[in-house]
Amino acid sequence: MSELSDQMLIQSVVASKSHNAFASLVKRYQSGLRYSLRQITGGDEMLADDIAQETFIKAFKSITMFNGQSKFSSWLYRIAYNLFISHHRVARNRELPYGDDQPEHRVTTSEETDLQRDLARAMLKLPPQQRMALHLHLHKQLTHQEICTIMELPLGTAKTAINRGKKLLQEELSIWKSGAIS
Amino acid sequence: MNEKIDIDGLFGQIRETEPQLDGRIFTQSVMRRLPESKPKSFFSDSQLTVLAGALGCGLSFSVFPMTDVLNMMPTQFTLTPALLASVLGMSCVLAALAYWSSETDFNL
Repeated sequence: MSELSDQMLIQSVVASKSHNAFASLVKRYQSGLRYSLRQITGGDEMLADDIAQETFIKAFKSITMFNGQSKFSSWLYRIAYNLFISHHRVARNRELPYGDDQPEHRVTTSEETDLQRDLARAMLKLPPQQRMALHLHLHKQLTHQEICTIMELPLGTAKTAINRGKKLLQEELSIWKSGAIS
Repeated sequence: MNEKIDIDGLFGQIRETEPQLDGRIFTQSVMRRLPESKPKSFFSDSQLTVLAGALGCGLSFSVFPMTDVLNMMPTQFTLTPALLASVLGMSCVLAALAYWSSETDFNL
């Protein structure tokens, strides 16, 4: 049987708040979203899954606001990014053990390769905005315009965030590499 | 000297090894936390059914060729075992269909 399109599932959720239709959307997008959040939280699986859960719950509650002008995945990523930024602010204000200098807070699994782990650690050194922009551009291969929509940024700011992020990551990984060799 | 690292290539490698995360437990926990959908109002549901029924009856009555159908009705018929079996079979099929439709969730 052919899979129902996002649009049909969304219409069903809007019309009757169908949990079954929404479950299909969650199953369709959970893996990509959770993996992205793991990347931008420095590999913290618990935090990433918490934000992903909140994202889907918020999406369900406000699905009538989805106007269909962007992709459903972009809309989800926008919610996730806002939640991630909110969490980052709260964590910084409370000085919770989540932050740029706490890679030991991470929970890792065998699914993760060394490369993924190292990159996630290096990504933690970047400011959240650059982290997200870089991930969306280089990993998800989204266009600058899509990144602007998700992050609600002007085009120039998004491009700058990507370029600065790349440069910083380059420096971070070079230090790490030279440290590993010596 | 710092060796230049190919960031694009690194992300390319990561993309290729991205795992497909098992979503069964995650989906269940999301679904458990969703707000319950409002139960359908029995009154408004019944009202709609009655209205639709009345409208249907009215339309049928105005266009239905009642006299022709009455003329086609047999004035007598013989009850044979085959006819009885057919009637029973049809009843079983209709009952099964009614049961299936009442047990099936048509909400996608």
